[in-house]
Amino acid sequence: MGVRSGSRILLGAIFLVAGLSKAHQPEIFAAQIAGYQLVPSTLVTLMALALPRIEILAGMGLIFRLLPRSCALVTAALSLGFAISTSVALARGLNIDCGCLPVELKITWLHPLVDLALLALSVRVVQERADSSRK
Amino acid sequence: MRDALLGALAIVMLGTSLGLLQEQLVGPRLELMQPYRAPVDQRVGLVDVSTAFALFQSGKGVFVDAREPERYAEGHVPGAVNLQPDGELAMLPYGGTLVIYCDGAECGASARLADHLAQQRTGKIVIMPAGWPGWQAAGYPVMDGSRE
Repeated sequence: MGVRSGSRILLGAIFLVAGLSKAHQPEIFAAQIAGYQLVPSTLVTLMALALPRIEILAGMGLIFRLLPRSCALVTAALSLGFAISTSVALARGLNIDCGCLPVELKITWLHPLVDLALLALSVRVVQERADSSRK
Repeated sequence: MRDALLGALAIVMLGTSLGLLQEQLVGPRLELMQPYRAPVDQRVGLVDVSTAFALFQSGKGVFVDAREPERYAEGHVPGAVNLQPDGELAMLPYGGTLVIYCDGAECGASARLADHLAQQRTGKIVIMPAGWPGWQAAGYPVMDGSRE
């Protein structure tokens, strides 16, 4: 397994685990989204239902090489969104659960950094696929 | 790139559809397109006295003393509103984090009042389990009721 496959599968595994951990408890994830105080309250429920499934689909697509560029674009958009929302929450002094993984984690400045690393990994996968399709 | 973007859009739409479908199949646990209101037990948090004091200092906390008026009169957190679990909520100001306390971890008045408030008010609600004894023991400012 090469470095390219490794980064794709790692990215996919992270999003698959994150999505699976939230998919079966939408009411808890909804409370975590609401804690960020960024999303209109009428959209919180929809996001709590949709986001975990989108993460699962993107994660599986990356692992099994099904539309990997599209999946990497999705993970890039999600990572950017998570980085912005955690940064805004931290800047506002909120002490909330990140809602990112199956363990209870309060947000810290480490979170936007990890999100930016995932964004970089996603961009790398998009570029790799673009390069390989041009060859 | 256009194909990749279309694929990404399809993933988002499929994920959203699966979420909505599963919610209908499993049984509605959330009310769609309704303003989200967290369950009471998730809206009420716990804070230690030092966190409560930080809220006090910053002016972001509205302190609510859930003890009997006689106990409140003997002394309380400066600026605290005295309110029993079945009391009139209109006297509570809006805005800020509601910090509820009573006579310590053993008294149930804070939890009952928090439950009542969570059903009537939006916004953050926290209980200070250490209560009035914990606040006094920490040496934080107190208001002697007889001086008001």
